[in-house]
Amino acid sequence: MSPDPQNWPWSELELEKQPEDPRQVRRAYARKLKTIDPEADTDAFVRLRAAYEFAQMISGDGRQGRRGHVTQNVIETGGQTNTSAPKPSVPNETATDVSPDELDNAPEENTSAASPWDTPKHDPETVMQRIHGLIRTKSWAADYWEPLLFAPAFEDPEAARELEGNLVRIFVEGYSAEGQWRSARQNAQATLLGPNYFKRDLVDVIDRRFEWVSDGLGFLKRHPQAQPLQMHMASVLRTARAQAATVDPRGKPIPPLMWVLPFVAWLVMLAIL
Amino acid sequence: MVCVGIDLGTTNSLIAVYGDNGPELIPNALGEHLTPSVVGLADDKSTFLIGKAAQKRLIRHPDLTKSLFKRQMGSGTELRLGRKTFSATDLSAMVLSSLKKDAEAALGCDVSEAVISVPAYFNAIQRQATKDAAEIAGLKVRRLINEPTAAALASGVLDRDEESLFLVLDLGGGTFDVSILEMFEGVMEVRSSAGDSFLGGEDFTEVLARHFCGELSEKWSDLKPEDKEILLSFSERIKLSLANSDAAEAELPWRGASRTLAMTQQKFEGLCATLLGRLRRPIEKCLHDSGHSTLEIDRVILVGGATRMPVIRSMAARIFKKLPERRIDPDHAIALGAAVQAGLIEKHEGLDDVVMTDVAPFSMGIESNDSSREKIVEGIFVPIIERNTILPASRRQFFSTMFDNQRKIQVKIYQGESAFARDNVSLGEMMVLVPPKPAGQEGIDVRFTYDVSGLLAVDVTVPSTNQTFSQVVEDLAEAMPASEKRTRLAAMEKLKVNPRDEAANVALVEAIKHLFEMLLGQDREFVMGLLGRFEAALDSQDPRRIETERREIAEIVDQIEANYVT
Repeated sequence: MSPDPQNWPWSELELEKQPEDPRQVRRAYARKLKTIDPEADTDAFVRLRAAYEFAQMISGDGRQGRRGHVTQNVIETGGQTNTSAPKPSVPNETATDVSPDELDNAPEENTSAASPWDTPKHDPETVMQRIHGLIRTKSWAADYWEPLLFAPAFEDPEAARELEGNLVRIFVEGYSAEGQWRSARQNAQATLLGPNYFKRDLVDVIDRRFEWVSDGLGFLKRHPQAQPLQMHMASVLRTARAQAATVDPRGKPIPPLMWVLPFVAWLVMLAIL
Repeated sequence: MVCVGIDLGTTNSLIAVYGDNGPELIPNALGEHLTPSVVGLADDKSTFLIGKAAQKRLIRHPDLTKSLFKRQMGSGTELRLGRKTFSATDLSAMVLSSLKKDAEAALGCDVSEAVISVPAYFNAIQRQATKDAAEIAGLKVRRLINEPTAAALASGVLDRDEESLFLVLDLGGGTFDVSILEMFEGVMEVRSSAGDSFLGGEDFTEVLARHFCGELSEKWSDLKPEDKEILLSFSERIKLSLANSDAAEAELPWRGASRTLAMTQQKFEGLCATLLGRLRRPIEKCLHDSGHSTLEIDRVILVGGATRMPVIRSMAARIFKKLPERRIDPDHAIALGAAVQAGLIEKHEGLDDVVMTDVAPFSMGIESNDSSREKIVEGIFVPIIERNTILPASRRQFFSTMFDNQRKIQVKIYQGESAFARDNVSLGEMMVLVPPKPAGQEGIDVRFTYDVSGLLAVDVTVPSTNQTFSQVVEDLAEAMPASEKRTRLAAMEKLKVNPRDEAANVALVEAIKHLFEMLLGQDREFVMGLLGRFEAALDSQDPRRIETERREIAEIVDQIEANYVT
């Protein structure tokens, strides 16, 4: 069948028209994919892929219907965390015996409030309050920040994403409230956030946790408005690294002490908390 | 012509082939599937030992033995073995060449092509170094396959009728990778992958070793290499023992005395907090890039020996709220998957309705200046093929001139994730001529085409003149020139390597000597006796007697090792 531009993307997928069941789209894609050799015919694959991705955008990927309510469940109960959850049983080799059916049911069972899988030492809100406390008291030492950013409360990827968003908001608002950093430095009446808070150590911890600089592309995709913030952090890191390079011309890796110290600090903070 | 699948690991390497009964592992000269990725020189300082024999010499001869060199792939670091220096590529080539011989012995034919697995997060230079190593070992690389993809391929082929979205967590000896894949209608589609190429099981062992070092009132940085190896080897056993029990305790011969050191699961988890924290980012990134949430994941598959650690399994269970699966031995999955890929390339009839598509593990693009803001920002990295784009892919983007009457545009090609070009890996550059016009009224169309074998083609078109400029970035940054590969291949063939038929004997002698170092008092004498007994058998030169004795003594050695940690 020669692709009919009027009927794209369905023509490329060798479908008559948009199917009612979105799974038909995947089936059509799979069928056609097996007839081409992506390695030898890149153009054909790129054409098929473009049609498939567009078709999925129109008709859905055939997965959402099945899962929508589960996700909804989590959003509703997501804020609640219980602090006295038992230690999760350690799954062992017997896990291999779990049938797909049981696995499919697992999310529903476990999104109820008393999830046996969570062992949060602190709930995200408490940790967030502590972070606000650090900002109010202008405590920018990385040793304070590290245990909070790596807190077990943010082990859940969705919770971590929220934490990251909050941090960006705090820093970006602090940033634009003061205008340019340079002028802020001249301005003795720096308000909430002083210009000195982006010490190298703090930037380093944030970058280790959320890769705002090292995965700059990913960061800008998530937070396009925060580009000036990112540029500032990048320059702090770069200056710090340039200095480190002049200190140790042999370019040795970070000495073990530097690696253990934050860890010790983290243990101490855990004890305090 | 046979194409094999190879898992060139940080700690262990394996080789497998796709046969009539699906993928199968090939044993080495010792009859074992795991060949330690360790290379060393024997006592004569000229014969090379590869695998277990070398591994058992780490404690006694740290200056003559190298392990964990995968971490230095493509870094240009020189590794010293006795009086000679080698690159990580050279040492990897020796491991590959040993695996190749094992496969040739088992299959009875020449093995000259391979699919080799690399961590998904390996950059272009590290990938090229892996290819170079294979060529030095006399293997043509048909494909480099990402490790988590290989693992998923091994698990996915088991039930190809199933439709599911699954996540593979691969924690090997030295690298950590996460991939999200979707399986439907025989199509295995990688959606996204992320990872940390400097995080693995060996780091957990080191945390333990450093802790014990503190308990012995010693300073880690002041320890001699052999003492570090003793502590690491000891910690490795404790770590393995903690995989099956809540607490472990063992005696360590230290400075002539016996010290009892103990560890509990809970304490170990505390010690690993920092490392566990580092596992989070790649998982978050992978989920974000795939556009899925944790609850949409149907299955979580654990791969890599380090996922045997209960701390990892319980963390995975907490994050994904489901039991992680280990359907295939986590040590074997990658090699088996690489063999499946080899089978796909050879169009093996058992795989005729399976298609696998992978993604670009990193972003590729060019340097540009951002003039969309008040101040022009120079040196911005503009990705043209973004990471986790399904391959093969071809994308284009338009760039316009910055100055009036600009005649040239320099196109600098980079790979990486930093927003600033100079922080990424440079892949090359080209000069494009444009007719002089006012700023912004002239420009170029840049097309990037990246195929499954890792070949990047850059085509630049000037729409106003219809002129095209193209470049294929084949030998990515710092690739080894063909002439040098030939020289190294020749040098490799001249190296004196311990003969294959003696490998089992040498490995046993080294294993006994290693055990001797780890024991004290009466146990030492007993082990000494074993060595005497085996050496007597070797002296007799009676192959049958040697084999019987070897089997018996090896069994005793294994038993002592198993009982070592309580």
